[in-house]
Amino acid sequence: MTKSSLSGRKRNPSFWRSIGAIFGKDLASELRTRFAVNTLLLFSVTSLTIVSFSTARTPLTKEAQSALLWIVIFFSAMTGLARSFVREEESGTADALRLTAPAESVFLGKFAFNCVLLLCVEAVVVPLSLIFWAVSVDAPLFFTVVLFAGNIGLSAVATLMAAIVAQTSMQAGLFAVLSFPVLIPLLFTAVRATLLSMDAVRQVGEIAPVIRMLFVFDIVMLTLGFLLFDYIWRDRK
Amino acid sequence: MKAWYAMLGIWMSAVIYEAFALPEIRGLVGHPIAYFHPPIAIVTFIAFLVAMIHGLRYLRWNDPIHDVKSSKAAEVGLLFCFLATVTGAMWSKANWGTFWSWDPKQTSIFVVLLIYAAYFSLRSSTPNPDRRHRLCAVYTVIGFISAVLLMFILPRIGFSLHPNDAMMGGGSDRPVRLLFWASVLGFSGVFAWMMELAVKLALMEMKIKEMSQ
Amino acid sequence: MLLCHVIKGMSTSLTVTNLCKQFEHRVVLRNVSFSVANGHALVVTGPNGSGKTTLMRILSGLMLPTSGAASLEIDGTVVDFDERRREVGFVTPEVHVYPELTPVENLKFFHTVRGLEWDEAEAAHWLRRVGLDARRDDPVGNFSSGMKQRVKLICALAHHPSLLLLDEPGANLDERGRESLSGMVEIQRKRGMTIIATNDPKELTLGDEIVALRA
Repeated sequence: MTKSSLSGRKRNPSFWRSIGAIFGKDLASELRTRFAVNTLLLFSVTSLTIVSFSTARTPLTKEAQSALLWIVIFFSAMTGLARSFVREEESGTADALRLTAPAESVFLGKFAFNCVLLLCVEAVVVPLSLIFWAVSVDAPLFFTVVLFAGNIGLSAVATLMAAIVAQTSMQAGLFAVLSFPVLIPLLFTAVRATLLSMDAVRQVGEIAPVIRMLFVFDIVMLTLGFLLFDYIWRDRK
Repeated sequence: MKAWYAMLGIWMSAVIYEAFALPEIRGLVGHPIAYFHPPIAIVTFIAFLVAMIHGLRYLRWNDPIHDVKSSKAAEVGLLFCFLATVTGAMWSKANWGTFWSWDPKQTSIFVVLLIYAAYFSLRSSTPNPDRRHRLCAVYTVIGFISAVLLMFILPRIGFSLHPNDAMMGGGSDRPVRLLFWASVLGFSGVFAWMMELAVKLALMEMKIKEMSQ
Repeated sequence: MLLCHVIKGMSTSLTVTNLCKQFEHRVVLRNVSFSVANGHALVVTGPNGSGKTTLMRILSGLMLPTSGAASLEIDGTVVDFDERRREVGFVTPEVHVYPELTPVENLKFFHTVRGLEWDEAEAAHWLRRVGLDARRDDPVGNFSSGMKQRVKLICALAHHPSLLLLDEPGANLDERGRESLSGMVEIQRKRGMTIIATNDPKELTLGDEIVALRA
């Protein structure tokens, strides 16, 4: 046994390995039960289909397309991303995690897992919406970057809020209530940015502030999450 | 202490009187609101900042008194936020014809209202006291940072109907600016007073509960 | 052959001073004090509601006391919470291992997040010790409660903790399981400290000393 060093927390290889272990464990669990992925995909595809079919006759404006895409992604996130923490608390494994893993690893591992879940949703919803709505994306690279940045912001906030609500008595019911207002800056900006990517006729000058906002939001939320997670996760002095 | 409150009462009465007495500001319709809405919004932010500071102090010291102060600041802040939203809507109606103009700042203050309403949802869904204090303290931090993002950074990416700095900085006369800041001061005093009362009440309730056990 | 890592020259102790815990106005623990040193086992007993589980949770680091202290020392240095994850093993009815993972995967997971090196051979050894070798690739969710308890035990022991906390450890175990348990407590005694919280008279003999909590 390696004699444990009694120094403070260190960012040594074991830190990264523990993040990998938590991420891997959630992934393995998910592959075996497929619960979250199924719920997420079912919800997102269903809502996308409902919207598309009901607006089939009236062509959607680019603004509406952009907004609806993010609405579907957001609500999918609200449906499925709380699960990883709620299930840990319910099945009594959260305490096992508290006892053995460093808090930052839990945050980053779960965050990474949520990113992957959302990526799965986006991988299905985005192509489908492009087909259903006959969307032409003028700047595909920008479009992808916006999706990616939105993904990170959504996952960061969702991970934080999931950890909070998992410890309440209402749990998943509170998840959307807490997450939504905090995510507004991200959602508004992402919708605007996606719109810009779909419609290059608009002012190019608008791109910079929008990218900046997404960047700022992601950095702020990830940093806040990283600093605060320990306090959410366990009792500490 | 009573003298203090009397002074505050006189101060606010003077502010309110002057708000109606001063002539209209050019370019702004419904002018008395101009002396109420922005100061109330400013005090909302002060309230949430205070809530965050006490939340951080709870996280550092684990002393329940900080949780009491944090939650009471958030409570009074929520009231001010509600008033800010309502006065904002009134001003919107007077100036631009509709109660809701989708102006970024108007939307933002409403979202801030949602953030702190959610704070109280969180509070009431956590029966375990240790957890409640801890989670709510963390939320006050997340809430305040989000509020800052919403009110000050988000509007920069879109165009705003808000008159913005017209009143606070240059471009307006001295009496206007004086009254504006006097109003801010007055409302801050009202906030401090309400918070103090709320905290005292909460502490008394706690003591009564303790004694009846 | 038992692969035992014997740590020479490590003296460990747990000192509990005036530990109090109250939830709002309900006092669960009042001025609990005791100490355990290397090579000893302590049994904590008391009627239901006397705070045994609360005490164990505080000792494990999951919960903070309202006042008082429980300090774990290794070679004279106080171990802070972050290091406790490697030095403490906790088995309690409320905390479970991952049901969708196999025992091997569970062991590997807890080892890795604790920041320790994973040893395949040692894992096999632990599984054999508790008689779960045949089910090593079966998800723990399919196990009986006694088998689950055995998995929890090895997950708490495999990292060679200085302090082993057992809350009602014999609850789901049969005769053979209990024998396994006593054997493991014996080994742990030599290595470090053990605290067992129980109401079962059979388990009272597992410790050198008994601390009785009153309701």
